Amino acid sequence: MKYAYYPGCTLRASYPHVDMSLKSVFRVLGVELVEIDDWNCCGSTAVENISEAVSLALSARNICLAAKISDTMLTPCTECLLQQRRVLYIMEQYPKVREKVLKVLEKVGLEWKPVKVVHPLEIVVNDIGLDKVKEKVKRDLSGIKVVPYYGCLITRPYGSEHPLYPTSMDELFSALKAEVIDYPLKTKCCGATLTATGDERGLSLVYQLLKDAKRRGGNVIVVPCTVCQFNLEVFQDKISTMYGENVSIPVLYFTQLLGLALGLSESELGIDKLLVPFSISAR
Amino acid sequence: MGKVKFESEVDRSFTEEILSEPGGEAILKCIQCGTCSSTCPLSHFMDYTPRQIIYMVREGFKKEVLSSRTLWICASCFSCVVQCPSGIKIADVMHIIKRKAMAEGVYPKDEFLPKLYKSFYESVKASGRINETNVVRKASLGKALGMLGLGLKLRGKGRLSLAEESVKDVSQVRKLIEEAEKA
Repeated sequence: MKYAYYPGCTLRASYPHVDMSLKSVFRVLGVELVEIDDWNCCGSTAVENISEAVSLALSARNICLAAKISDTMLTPCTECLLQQRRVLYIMEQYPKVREKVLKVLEKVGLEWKPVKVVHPLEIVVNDIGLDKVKEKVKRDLSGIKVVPYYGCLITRPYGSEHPLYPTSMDELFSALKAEVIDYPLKTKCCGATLTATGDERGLSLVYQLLKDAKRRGGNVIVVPCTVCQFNLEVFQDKISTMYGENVSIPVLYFTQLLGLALGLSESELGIDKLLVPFSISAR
Repeated sequence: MGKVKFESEVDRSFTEEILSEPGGEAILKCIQCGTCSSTCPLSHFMDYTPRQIIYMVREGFKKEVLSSRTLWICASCFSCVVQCPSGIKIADVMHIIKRKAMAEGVYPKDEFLPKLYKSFYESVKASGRINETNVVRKASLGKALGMLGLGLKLRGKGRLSLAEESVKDVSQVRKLIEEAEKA
């Protein structure tokens, strides 16, 4: 299995733990990742909210470059994933916009060739399959109470699972023998960029998520989204002070916990880069 | 909701503009059920709820809509989009409106996100890639100092690089952006 890997800007600067755990886990699972040569920023909601055409052109370029490597592109950041799936959708549904984007691509010498865009969780669950993953387990996760939090963009609006109650991570961590907590807030928004100002708008959402994860007895929250990993983890001290309640709980990108079950070391998975420490042996 | 208006005071061409953009075409099917507002995790912070925004767009309340705080509170979680019984892509409508508010510069000046978007856009245009921390620093003009302690903690863990990256073929990406801006 070979995928065109799109790390995206934030993975490089702010999420080395996601990047390294992803590469370590896929090495063990026999998945080949080839980084897309000279990929550009996806533009995120920022560019989408200034110019639709620029936003579409930026992701269209990345898809053209990915097509040179594989017919499937792997994107771990859900915001980048959304932008790529959006351009694929718009190119198919809106012929007039398609014409515009094709002309822009032509002007810079690129030829439009759509690829499938997938998230690493989808590769683990759908392409590799839980039976194969189970064969590679070196140390199961029994005794660990896992709260699966999916966030928004992996399922909405273009995902393959139920948009409000997905189950793929529940199934994955059950297969690894963890005790998976039923978590009704699993797709409730974490506030995304609203947390940047540190006020109540964003942080109240994170507070509700953390409070409920703890109330239900969770030892660790696992997420498939980089923004969720950041929001749920790094503001815990501030939220504990704001609401007068201890909301501390480790928050791992899902490949970090999966990697521990596959026998990888904490340093290979960037577990040592977490602000809220997590150790499998302490359980 | 905003005050009652006479027909001569509303801007019907605004409604037409929203209808003509990808994602905006279904707004006339709105039955005002309020599913969007009730599923929205942030509607209690908004000046107009998502349901009210759709109604006001439909009735041509251009000024109220474009200057609404709601636009900068919506986090684009798409809960409304997947649950709307009429198939209206409310979050995408928000994006269309935000683009217009950005272009006309009529957003509330104390909102942070418009500044962040501009800073982000300039960075992409300059080098084809962004550094998130630098984009936020430029947009917040020192206000991010309150986050200094957290920033240092993250930096200690190797999670806050200030290095600016660039694509190799900057001229191609710049040309791509310029052509798209004209398109």
